[in-house]
Amino acid sequence: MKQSPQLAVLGIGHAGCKIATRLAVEWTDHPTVLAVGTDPVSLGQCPEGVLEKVWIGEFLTGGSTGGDPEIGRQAAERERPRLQNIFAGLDLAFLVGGLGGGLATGALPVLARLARAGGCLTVGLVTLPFEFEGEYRRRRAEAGLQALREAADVVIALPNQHLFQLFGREVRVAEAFERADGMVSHALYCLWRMMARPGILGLDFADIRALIKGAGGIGAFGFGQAEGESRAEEAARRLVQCPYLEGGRLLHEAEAVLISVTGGPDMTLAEVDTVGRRIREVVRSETPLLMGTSVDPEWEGRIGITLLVAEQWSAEPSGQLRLGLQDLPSGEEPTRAEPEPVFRTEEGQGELSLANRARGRDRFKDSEPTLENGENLDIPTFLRRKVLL
Amino acid sequence: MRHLPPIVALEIGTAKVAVAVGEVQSDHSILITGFHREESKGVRKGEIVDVETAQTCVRMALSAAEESAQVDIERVCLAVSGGHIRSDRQTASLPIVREDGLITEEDEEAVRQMAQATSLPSDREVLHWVRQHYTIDEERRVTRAAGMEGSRLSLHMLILHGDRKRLHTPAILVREIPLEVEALAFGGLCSALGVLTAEQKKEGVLVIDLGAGATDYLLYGTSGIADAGSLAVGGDHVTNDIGYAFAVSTRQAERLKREYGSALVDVANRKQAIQIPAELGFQERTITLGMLQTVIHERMDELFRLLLKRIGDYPRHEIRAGIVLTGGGAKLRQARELAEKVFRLPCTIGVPTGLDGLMGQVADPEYATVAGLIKYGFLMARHPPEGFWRRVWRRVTFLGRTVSAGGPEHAEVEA
Repeated sequence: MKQSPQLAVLGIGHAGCKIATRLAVEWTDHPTVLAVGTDPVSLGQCPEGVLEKVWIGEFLTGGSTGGDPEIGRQAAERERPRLQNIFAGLDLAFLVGGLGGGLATGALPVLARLARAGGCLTVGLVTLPFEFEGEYRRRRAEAGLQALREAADVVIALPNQHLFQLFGREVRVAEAFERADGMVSHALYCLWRMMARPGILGLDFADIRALIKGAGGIGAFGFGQAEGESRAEEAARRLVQCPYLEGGRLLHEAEAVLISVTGGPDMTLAEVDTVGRRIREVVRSETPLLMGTSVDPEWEGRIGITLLVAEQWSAEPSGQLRLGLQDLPSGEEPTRAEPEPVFRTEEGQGELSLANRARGRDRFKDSEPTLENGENLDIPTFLRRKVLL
Repeated sequence: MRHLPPIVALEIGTAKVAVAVGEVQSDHSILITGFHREESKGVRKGEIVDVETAQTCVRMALSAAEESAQVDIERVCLAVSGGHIRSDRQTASLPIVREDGLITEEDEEAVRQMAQATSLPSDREVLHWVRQHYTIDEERRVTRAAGMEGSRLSLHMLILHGDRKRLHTPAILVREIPLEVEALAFGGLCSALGVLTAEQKKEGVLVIDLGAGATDYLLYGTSGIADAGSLAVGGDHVTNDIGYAFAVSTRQAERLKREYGSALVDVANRKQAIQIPAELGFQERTITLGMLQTVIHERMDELFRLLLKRIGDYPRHEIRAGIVLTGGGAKLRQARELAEKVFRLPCTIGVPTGLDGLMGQVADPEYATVAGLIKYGFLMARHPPEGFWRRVWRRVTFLGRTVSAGGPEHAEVEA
């Protein structure tokens, strides 16, 4: 068996530490977790034993960045050697934090650069502030996101605001933050599982590496799970409606999608097929899909889908990206990601491939996509209806 | 009758900016004294995406209209559209406690205030309150309740609301010119006022305004406006689909749509070849009529089906006057026939009516909104909002800021 990849999760700043703590506490199996902070009090609140604490900026900050990203940045810069050691020997680091404050906003890009310099893949998983947190915080978060995108291999932004539709508007403030953190730690756990516990089919770390490398910096994440009779249908439906995928918009616009299905030993091939089919209905036909499954006795009776979306995609010409479903043991035709020949003239002029052309929503690129029931109406109808001309 | 100043209607659409100036004549009819149309820039899907460019277009259109009407324009009525505009039903009830059980006008006012006290999310703003009908004791439907007997009075209203920022953008743009915004009205409501007869409204009718960027709809049922909204799909989508399907420029796609386009495929001539000349960056090619019309058909068919779904649960037999198609997209060949097929209701094309003057120019489905907006402006001037909203209205006009804050109830407008 291949040596399993070395992964670690770094929670940076107040929100990052809270998320990291939850990850370490709530699941018995989890990756190496580190909490990085300037505030000895909030670091002190992280439980002992389950995670490693890294206190930085001792002399610079006196315990707090005061919400200033510049101080956050300097705090990390001054600790370069110590932080560099963290990344030694790691294959992939998740950098987790809440953008908009001081430390995470300023220090995350520094950490990402350090990690990459050490040959470690970096996935930034950051929350963006709720709208009620104000314009100032939002702008700071956006600047931080931009800086992080330039530094990390891929950044997955999770706007807290999207969670409102999930929580309902009556939720209390403290609870809203609490639950947002819970969502992120769940997201992290799903992603980690997907990478560290390769299943029986398809996906391995090389696929994930290829996706991350080609993603051009921007990614999104979604998940759905369900139990009961039509759990595959239901899990797929929940996945598509996952708030982080913006009502399915991000799936539509995805340039590549990686799907991991987890189920108990009772999971059937038909269910895996259903999940693949449902997702394929949402993504554009030319988008490559990678799919993998893993079986875990703890998941008896349940199905969970985790999905990683690349919003940009430039596959290496070597074609490193292979399609998980091709390994399907059954004789069933795999749901392959081939652009369908939509355009064919009656005179047999040959096929005009759509793959090289723009995505067909050029005119609307300045405006918000028109979404109706998870469908992007800006994409030509004849394409979505697969009408042959 | 007191003298009413001229009303100026301004529509900042996706394809065009249209301005119309109207004056009331001694016989109470409205005379269009000035009109201008300018190609629109900086607007997508009914929403302004480039304020500066859009503002230039608006300035040009306004000064041309000033010249045509020989007036100085100081204030305008503004039509708004876009996929963010939606409607919701709202009901409020009130027990009648008077001993004789008679409902008074105060009760009507109280229940109206209750209905209007509804809270929308902070990013939404009310555009119109529409009074639908009262119910007395949960069973009798009436349009006026005062003077009737009962123990419980309910009021059913429709709230038309939109995204706060998107509603404000055009208003701010106009104020920067600087001009005063007299009223803000939903484009779909304007179009309905512009093309419908009183008879059609009474019978029940669905107005579909096929704009370039968005499609507005408004449904009149047995008791006034029953549903309304907008879908950010329009003629631009048709053009874009054509451009994509045949790899031609937007300009070329627009020409193909106008010259050969049809919402239904002309089966007999579907093999007829269409030559597309080479353009910079685009090769010369030949397509068939059938291919072109299939692309258009799919889009229009989908659009109508989405609208059908939106009004879904509304009883069909209450839409006795059928469908009225208007807006620039209504000029697409066979659009009427396709709508009849999809909705299974009779369908006509709506052209602005009930105005005098420059009708030669304005009598085109494309100008339904701006023609209706003139009417709306006069109705608002003649029947200013009453009660609570009158106070809000005054304050709003005075401050000249959040014009659409609340907005007037326009049940009176429908009278």
